[in-house]
Amino acid sequence: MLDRASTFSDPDLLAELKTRFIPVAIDQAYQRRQQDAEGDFYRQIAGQGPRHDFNNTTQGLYVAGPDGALLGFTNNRGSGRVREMMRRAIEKYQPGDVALLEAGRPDPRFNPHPPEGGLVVRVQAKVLDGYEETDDRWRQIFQSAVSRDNLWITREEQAALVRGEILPTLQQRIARFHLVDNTRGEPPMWRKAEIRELEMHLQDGVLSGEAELRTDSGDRAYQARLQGNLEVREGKVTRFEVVAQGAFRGEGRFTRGAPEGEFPLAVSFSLADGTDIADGIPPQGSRGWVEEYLKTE
Amino acid sequence: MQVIPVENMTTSLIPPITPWILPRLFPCLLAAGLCLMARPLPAEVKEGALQAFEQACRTSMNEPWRSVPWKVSLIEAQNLAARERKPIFIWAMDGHPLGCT
Repeated sequence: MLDRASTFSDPDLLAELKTRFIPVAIDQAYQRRQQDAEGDFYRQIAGQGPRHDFNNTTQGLYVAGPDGALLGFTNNRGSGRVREMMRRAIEKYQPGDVALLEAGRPDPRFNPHPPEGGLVVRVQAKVLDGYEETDDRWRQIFQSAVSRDNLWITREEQAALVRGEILPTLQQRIARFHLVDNTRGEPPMWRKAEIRELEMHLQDGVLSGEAELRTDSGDRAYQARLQGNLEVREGKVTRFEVVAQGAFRGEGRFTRGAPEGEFPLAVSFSLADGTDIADGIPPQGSRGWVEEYLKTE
Repeated sequence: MQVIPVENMTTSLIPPITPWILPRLFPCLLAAGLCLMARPLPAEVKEGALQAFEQACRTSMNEPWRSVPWKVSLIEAQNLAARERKPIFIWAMDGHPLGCT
């Protein structure tokens, strides 16, 4: 989140990145664990840096040659620091003939694919109000952030939508993994037992519903209403536009800095069309446990 | 993690009409908002908040970082880097940098 709004909003840095580097974006929690060529290559590079304990996060910005030699690393988000790291890496880099790596058989535990015959839905969320005003640039970025995730819908769930039904599995997936405040970082997802109330109905293409989510201690809660429209053509959902809006309370370990008390949070859902680079990214809720995310009962 | 490039997704995952999503989402969103506002809301929402959400969502889809031709596979990046004799820039985060948060 911070990187998108700070590091990668610097036009000079972006120009360098586009012309002198091959840019790649990854969730290193996958690559540092996966047992395949992709994982091996990542560990080769990251292992030369300061974050070489693969049982812990190795997040950061790396520059490496195609031979896997580390040329630079920083975990600083200031664009000046990153540009300097890039400049030094280019100075060190000596182009030469390097063999192309083969992908081989990808580790299936870390290569989730959207369900065949299903749907990908874009999910965006924003805190609508409640923050205290601040002059701090980093806080301002968080406070104005719009999050981005994807909802995966299975073939069976799409077929049910076509019939005018929202299967309980889809309702629970939306509630547990997507009615979250992920505007300041990786959010805690809801456990099944934290769904206190959940109702969604679909009639004549209009989706309506309510959800009440709350931890046992009550330190985190979201009470939301959902409203939207679906269209179906030739047995497929061609429009899925839904918004959830309601009162959120609390924060998670990696989403500190929420407004005090209850604050309004909106979450929008719209069918992905493949034009956004993020349309192909697995849902955050599927991370490391796609079976639980896509559970069918 | 190797993510299916969107262009390689099975066609059934991609709706047949592409450019209308955002323009059509937000009238729906506003209508939904008006509908929701007809009933008491669990948290106070200032007038114009939903419109601001609409604008923020639109703006976020045009942020500068999206103009970068990010690869999502290190192996693909390595192959391209070897062919073009360029270094690889790796944006490695907790949670996918292009989405998730």
